[in-house]
Amino acid sequence: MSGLAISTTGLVHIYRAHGHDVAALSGIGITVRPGELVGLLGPSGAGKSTLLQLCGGLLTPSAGRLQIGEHNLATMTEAELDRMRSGDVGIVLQGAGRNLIPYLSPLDNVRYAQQAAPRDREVPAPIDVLELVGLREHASVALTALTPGQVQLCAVAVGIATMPGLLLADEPTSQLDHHARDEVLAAIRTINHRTGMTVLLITHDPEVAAALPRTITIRDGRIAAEGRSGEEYAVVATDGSLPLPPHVAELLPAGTLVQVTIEDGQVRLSPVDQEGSS
Amino acid sequence: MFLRRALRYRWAQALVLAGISLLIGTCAVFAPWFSRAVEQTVMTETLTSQAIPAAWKLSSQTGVETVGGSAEGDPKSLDALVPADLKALFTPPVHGMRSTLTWRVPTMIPKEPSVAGTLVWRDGYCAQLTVVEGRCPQRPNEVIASIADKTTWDFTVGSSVQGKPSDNFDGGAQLTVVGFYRPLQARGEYWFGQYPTGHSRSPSDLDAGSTDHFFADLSTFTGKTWAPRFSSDTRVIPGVARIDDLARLQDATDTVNGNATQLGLNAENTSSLSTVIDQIQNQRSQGRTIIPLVMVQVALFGVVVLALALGAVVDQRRPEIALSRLRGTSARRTARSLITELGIPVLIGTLTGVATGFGLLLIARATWLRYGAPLELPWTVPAALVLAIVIGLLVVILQVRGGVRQTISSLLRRVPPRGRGWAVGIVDLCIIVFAVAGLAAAATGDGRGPLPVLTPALLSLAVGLTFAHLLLPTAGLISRRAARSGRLGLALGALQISRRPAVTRIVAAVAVAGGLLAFAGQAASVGDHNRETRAGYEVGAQAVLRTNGLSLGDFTKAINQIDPQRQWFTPVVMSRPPAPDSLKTMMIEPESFRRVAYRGDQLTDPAGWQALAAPAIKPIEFRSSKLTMTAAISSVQQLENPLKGGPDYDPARSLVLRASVVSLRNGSRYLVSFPPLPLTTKQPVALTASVDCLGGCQLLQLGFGREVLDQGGVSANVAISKVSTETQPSLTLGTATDWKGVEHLGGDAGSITAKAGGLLTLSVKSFSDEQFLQFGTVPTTVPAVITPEFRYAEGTTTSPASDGTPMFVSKLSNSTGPVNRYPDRTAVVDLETVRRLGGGLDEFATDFELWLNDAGLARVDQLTAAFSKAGYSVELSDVRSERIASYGRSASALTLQLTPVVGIAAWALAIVVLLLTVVTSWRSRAQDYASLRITGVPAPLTGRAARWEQTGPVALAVLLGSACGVIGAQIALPLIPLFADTGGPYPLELSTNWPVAIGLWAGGTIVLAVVTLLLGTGVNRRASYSRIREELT
Repeated sequence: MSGLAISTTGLVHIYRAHGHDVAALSGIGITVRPGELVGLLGPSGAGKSTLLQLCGGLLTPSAGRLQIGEHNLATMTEAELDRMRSGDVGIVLQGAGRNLIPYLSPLDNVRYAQQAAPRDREVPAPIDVLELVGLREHASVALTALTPGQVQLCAVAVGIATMPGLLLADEPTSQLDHHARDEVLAAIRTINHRTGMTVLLITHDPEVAAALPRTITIRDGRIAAEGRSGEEYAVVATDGSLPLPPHVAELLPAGTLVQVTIEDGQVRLSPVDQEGSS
Repeated sequence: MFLRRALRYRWAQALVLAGISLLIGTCAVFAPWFSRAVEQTVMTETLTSQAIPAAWKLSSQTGVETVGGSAEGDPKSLDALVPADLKALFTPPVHGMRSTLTWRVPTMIPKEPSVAGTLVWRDGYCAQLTVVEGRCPQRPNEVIASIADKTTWDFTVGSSVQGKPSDNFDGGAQLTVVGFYRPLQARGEYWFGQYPTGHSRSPSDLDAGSTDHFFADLSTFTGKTWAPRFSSDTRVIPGVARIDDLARLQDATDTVNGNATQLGLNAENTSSLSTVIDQIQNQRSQGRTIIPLVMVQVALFGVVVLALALGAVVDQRRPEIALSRLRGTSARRTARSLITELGIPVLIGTLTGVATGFGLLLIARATWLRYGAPLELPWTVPAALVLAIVIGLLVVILQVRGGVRQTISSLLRRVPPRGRGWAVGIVDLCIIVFAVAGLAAAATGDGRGPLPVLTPALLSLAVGLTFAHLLLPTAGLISRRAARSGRLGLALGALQISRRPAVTRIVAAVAVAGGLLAFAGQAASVGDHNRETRAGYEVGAQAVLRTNGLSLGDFTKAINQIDPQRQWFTPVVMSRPPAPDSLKTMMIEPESFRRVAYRGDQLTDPAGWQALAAPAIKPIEFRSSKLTMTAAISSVQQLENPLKGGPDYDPARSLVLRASVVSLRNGSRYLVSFPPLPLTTKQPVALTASVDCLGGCQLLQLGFGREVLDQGGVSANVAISKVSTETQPSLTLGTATDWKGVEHLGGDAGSITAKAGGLLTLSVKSFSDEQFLQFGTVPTTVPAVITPEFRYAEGTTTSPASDGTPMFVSKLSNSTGPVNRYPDRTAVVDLETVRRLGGGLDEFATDFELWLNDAGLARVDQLTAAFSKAGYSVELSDVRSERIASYGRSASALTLQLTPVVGIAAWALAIVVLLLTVVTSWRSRAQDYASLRITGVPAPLTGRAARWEQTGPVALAVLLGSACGVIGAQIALPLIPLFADTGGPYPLELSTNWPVAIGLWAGGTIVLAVVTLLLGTGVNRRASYSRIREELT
């Protein structure tokens, strides 16, 4: 199966904490093309995991549109979401162990993950899935015998057990040494490359981010920036707003009047005083 | 596909679930099995202990003249009355012939009355006798007499008597004594109540004398000589007749007499089998009440614990459930696989309960029931098993569905989300409401129905759950305050409690366990106590020996010789009136009764004991064959007949001085009449009368009678100036105040008083009736402790205490306790007082008993030998420990034996919950403590918090549960039938047994505290840094 596109428009998610409504996402609009490998960046609490869980159908959007391939998640029932997760969307949770059944071998974990796949869906042999992540030789060992990196690879294998169109991975490279991290990243790239599977992964690691073809930075529930092959860009939102990068925002504190001009095809931001003089 | 591996991986959890289910299954199957076995045992026990009432005693109503082979006279003809389908349930019949007879020996003078006796033949009687001398009869008209008769009548082998049937003047024969016997078992079941009496009495003034049974050969009854009654005795065989036969036995018993008439048999059945069957049915219903109620409590608790355990297990499976849902498995399918995984151990455990239930039944059958029940499979067992399985699986389904229905994001959180601190789950709320409603129904209702009996469990469940739900916010509050005041250990421990709802399960389970254990302790100890108490009251003392005493004097002499200090027994003589609603007389020795009888000192208060004792006045005793009184008459006045319209009599001529003396030799009372004292006599006159007092007598009464046909009224003063005997020139008569007038029922208008003057001056007003004064050694109205249900009125008399004369009694108002052994219509009087009153007692209406204390019971053989040597035959008729054991075999006692089992099971379940909670939460707790250590909290502090976070709530829960159990027991125990009958005046003592309650509370607290402290220490030890990064569960 080829990758699934992700498209969100004005995506809002509000949750209730201690009697107050808190907006985890405030009008996110992103588009991920089928087969893209995208990293989600941002500080803790920015809304990355919320976006990932929304994409996985684990949370319901409070407002806005969220389209995964043909699925409009905002209107799907629980059963439809189950069906979507059983074949079209794979999820790798943060913390490799949370993705695995502790008493099953890697092979059986993959098998377990394939159980719910729709009958009409062709799922690969579990051993082939493990081969894809480089765990073929460890297919039948106990999880406790694996290294942390191998456990994470196993978690990734479980996430792609049904060869979904979209893989959502929450910090798959965290808590790993560099070697293991690179192995996991390489495995994800391989999967993306060989299967055309769309991959959306969260990372805090700048090196990992730099290695990804595209990154989206989320801050305060909004898209703060996008990166392309290591270069970061601000993104104009659908409402025309433009979140400033942190180092620019330091120069232009909140409330600053900014004169926006176009000179020679370039947009220029010039702070002015309260009277309007530069 | 992965089921086996899942079960193997979490084998401990599976084991716990299977263990709890095992308990539920065991309870489910054991209850009906045990109930049935108890019913069978009760039937067997009742038939065994009431062998005679449960027997069919078929006998001809009148004597028949032709017997020994003819159809209508053959006792075997009565066997037809036992229905063919019930014959297997009855013992082979014992046939018999008996004829009452009188007999004489040639040496008797013609006027001498004949002696009464009974001529008996029974199937195999010779085997039931110990032939002391001679042999058993083999030919017609040979008899074997009792060893008592040999002594009384100087029989020898070869002696012959001329016997005559009492109701056939034409019959009779010369009977030859060919041997002497002693019954092998005096009250053996063989006799069906027709045992040799042991009574053999030589003639006296009152009685022509009697003999014990003469046993004869069957051939003696051939012909028309004896007109015997014939009988066929059989009884239901305990252990062969079973519960299912009861209805048929009842029907057959009810219709047997009608059948006899239909068959033309002039016979009737004197069985009390119907009453016995009613008793059995009554006990059955008790068992059916108690067993389910007791077992349902523990089974319900088991279900609650299973629910709690499953809740913990499902909580622990949340990551796996989340994973399954994450991979697209529907909630239903996820639930199905988890239900299968958890249902298998539940199913296996419940099914295994059949084996353990059966094992328990075997143990109970071998111990409590003493093999009194057959092994059978009543339909209720599989029904209960199915019910248990359904309930167990239902609990699994409900718990799994509750867990699976959470959102995936919620399932992914490490600590299950919960509502605010005060929120109470719907299920918990329902339980609390149900429990409180039950409690209210118990407290305010009429005490009927099962709810009050379930009070201990309901109350402790409600209180435990309420406490559990209050605990979380309270612990949070305590934590914050402790943190502010710098007590970090407490703060940490309380914080852990407040953020772990699992602790509510422990608290609720422990409270219920504490409640059930406390209730079990109370039920068992109070039941035991009441059985012991009632047995004590019913037997009277530790044991009772029945003797064949005849007179109070002889009896008193014998007991004074054998135990003068009353170290071993206290004598009790019981005289029963012929009318059942009349007052019986129970004669006791107050001093020894207080010491020896069961709770003897509680019969009355000190003032009552003082009033009960015989007056401390020295009796007027003398030994002589003549008694002389010197008397002078004065102030003579003729009186008119006080009855208006009555006849006019001639003027009175004389007064006849009379004395009533009591023989010290045999206790009999004689009326002595002195020569008439003419009214015209002016000088003192010596009046002499013959008395039978060489063996010693006590002067009891003095008074006046009249000569024949001298009925004119007269009043006079008679001064007695001297009383002398052949050996004593002068006797004193005490003071005038020592003499009181004796009441006479229906007497005339006469009166008599004593006043000073001479030795004694009697002021008499006489018409025709006798007037007597009684010396102060015996009150004219005897003080008595009278049982409260008897409606006492002034002038109440007891049954004939002596010589058929009613005894006036005055009721002491100091009665403080029930009367032992004879609690109904009984007047307890002083034995010495009655002995001083003298007179003969009706042998057949009087029991001479010795009530033994422990020391006496220990030397009962020596006492028996000593009495035997003194000429008494004694028989151990009642032993308190045997009565206690007998009550221990009742349905109530047998079923209440379950309560300790229930308590222990409840406690085991509580520990299971505790362990399960720890097993399912230790890792996350260890992670919490490890995190705290990273932040610099020292290990001892986390250790303290780890140890006390559960110990505190658990200890408090034990306390609350125990209190609920004790309170619940006070509500429930009065409704649990401890005995088959109400027990009459013997009160149930249901007050709380505090030593047991406190002991169980302390024991329970210690056990659980040790467990929680050890577990807390273990958790803290595992709170290493590596634990923080651990993710695999």
